[in-house]
Amino acid sequence: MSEEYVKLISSDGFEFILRKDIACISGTIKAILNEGVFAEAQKNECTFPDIRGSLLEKVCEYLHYNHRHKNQQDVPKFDIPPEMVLELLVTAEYLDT
Amino acid sequence: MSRSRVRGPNSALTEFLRSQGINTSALGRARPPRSESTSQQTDQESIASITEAEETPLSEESPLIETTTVQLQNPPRSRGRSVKKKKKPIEDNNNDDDSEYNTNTGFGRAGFSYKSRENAGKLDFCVHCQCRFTITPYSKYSEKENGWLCYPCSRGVEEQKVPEVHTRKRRAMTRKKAAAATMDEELNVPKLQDLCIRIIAEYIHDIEALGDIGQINMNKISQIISKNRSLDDTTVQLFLTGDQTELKLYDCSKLTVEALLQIVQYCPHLHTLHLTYCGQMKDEVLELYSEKLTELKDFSIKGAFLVSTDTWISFLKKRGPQLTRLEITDTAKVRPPVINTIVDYCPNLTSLTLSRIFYMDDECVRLLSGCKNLKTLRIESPGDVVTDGSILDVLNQIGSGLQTLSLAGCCKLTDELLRQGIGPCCGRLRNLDLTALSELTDDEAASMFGNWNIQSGLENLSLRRCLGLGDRTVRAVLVNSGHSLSSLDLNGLSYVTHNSLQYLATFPLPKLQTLDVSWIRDMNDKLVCEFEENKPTLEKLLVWGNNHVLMPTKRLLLIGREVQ
Repeated sequence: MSEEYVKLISSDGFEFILRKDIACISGTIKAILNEGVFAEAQKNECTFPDIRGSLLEKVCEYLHYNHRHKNQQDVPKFDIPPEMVLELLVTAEYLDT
Repeated sequence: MSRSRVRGPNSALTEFLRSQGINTSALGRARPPRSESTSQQTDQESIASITEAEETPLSEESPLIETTTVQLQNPPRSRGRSVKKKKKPIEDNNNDDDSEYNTNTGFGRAGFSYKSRENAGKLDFCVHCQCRFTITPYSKYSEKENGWLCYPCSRGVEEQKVPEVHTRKRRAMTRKKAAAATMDEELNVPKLQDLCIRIIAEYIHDIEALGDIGQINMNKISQIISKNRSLDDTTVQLFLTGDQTELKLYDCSKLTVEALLQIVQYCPHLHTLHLTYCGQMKDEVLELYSEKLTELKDFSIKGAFLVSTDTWISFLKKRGPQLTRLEITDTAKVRPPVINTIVDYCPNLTSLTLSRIFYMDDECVRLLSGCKNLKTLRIESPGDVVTDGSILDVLNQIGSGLQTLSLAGCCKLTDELLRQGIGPCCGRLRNLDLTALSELTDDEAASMFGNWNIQSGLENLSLRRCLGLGDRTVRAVLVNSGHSLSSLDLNGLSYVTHNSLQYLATFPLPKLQTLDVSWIRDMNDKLVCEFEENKPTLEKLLVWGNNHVLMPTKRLLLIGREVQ
């Protein structure tokens, strides 16, 4: 099974390349990429003009953390610096994650 | 007054110091080597501070160390060498207080280091990753690498330092944590939103505004803050954004009258207002509510014991006509006149909950038969005696429209209620709560459920602590509503035997999600397995007090097992 990779692009031009199955832990990203008609789905790219690079990076970190510790009992703490927590909450709500 | 010139005898050391012009008054016990960090500063600064020390012997800094340093150091010096040299004079001067402060663990007050107190605010380069950062009182100093660590690097160090001590206490703690996690149902990886909300709740006092985070998340934050008891006059401001239509505060015990007044002043367009434990609410607050909340539909006030009867009446007269849902609990001031007002002035009421009302009695209940449009009626734990007669009156009048009925805690009710009330009158019922009705008997309940002509079947049934009920009732319930039940509570029914549990395990219950079989002695592991296999929709199984349930489950959430 070939592993597909997708690219997430932030508002300030940062590009994050990650595996498609991990990216699709986010409901919004999954919806965008799986809808065959959208240009995003065909190019396997998602642009987020409202999300800054630093926030998108934290989201990618969370997606990997989620994938790694799925169905585990004793998951380690996921650290979030307090300065970005409010914006991260809004972003997380938007991305359904 | 000038200092007296007369001085007593002194030790040789003091004499020596004075002759050198060194003032020891600023030297306390907690004098860490400031010179260590001095070495980290730019050479310019270090030279400046040393010259300062030379010129002003009465300075606050630790001149003892610096003066000796002056003798040894020549600018500019490489970091490694100067640190080594500085370590020597420290040891020479027997400043063994330093060693105490070399074992910093943790942040917060425990991690506060006097070492860095003086350096707070200075820019430095992390000795580990070479990034530029500002030293704070919580920064760590690394002995191994002889330098200050930035925040991410010091976190790494801290994690390595904490040793894994597998004592009995620690094992008990981890078991306790696992049990608590199961109770709170936090088994999987939490969502990013929930992680953020937890941190927000921790730092709630530092937040100025919540911003555009949506109603659901705001509600979650409100719940967590209330659980932490951090909801007070300052933090409540975060929830008052002006245009919101829903506000639910789960612990208003710290909110003063001013804050409660502010709620309405900032959010006049509320449709839904739920305030729990609002013990500080006075008459003036409710009066302002009755004036300002012109769009109020759903009003829930729990614990407002100071509000007087007259104020309740005037509030209900003004706002009653628009209310669709009303919930009042824990007050002694709601008496028959108030109930009368509810009936007269709230014609659009579809849901009414009156719990723990001190003067709730038959007279009050009888009046309620006037609320014709009720779909939900809860009369729970009345303070005074409520008997069958009044409830039957009510059910005869409005029972046919009820979808939810709760008579939890009305302990004096007997089988008559079932035979003449619920059975014949409540055909549309979906949710029934008969908690703590201990006078109900098994036979009567079984026959009621057997003969009950119910439209679509019960979805939620609670027979919690109806101690008289047993096997026959359980079977009758299953036959009656098994196809629609999603939550069944048989907590405390110790007369239920293995037979009916077996029957329960094999009976088709396509929608069952939650089952509570706590304190039923015959419950055991084999039955748990059967539940797990035969009931695919079952998610939660409560087994408090079932001492024959020992094994964990694979799929089900098992809560209350004695062994964890």
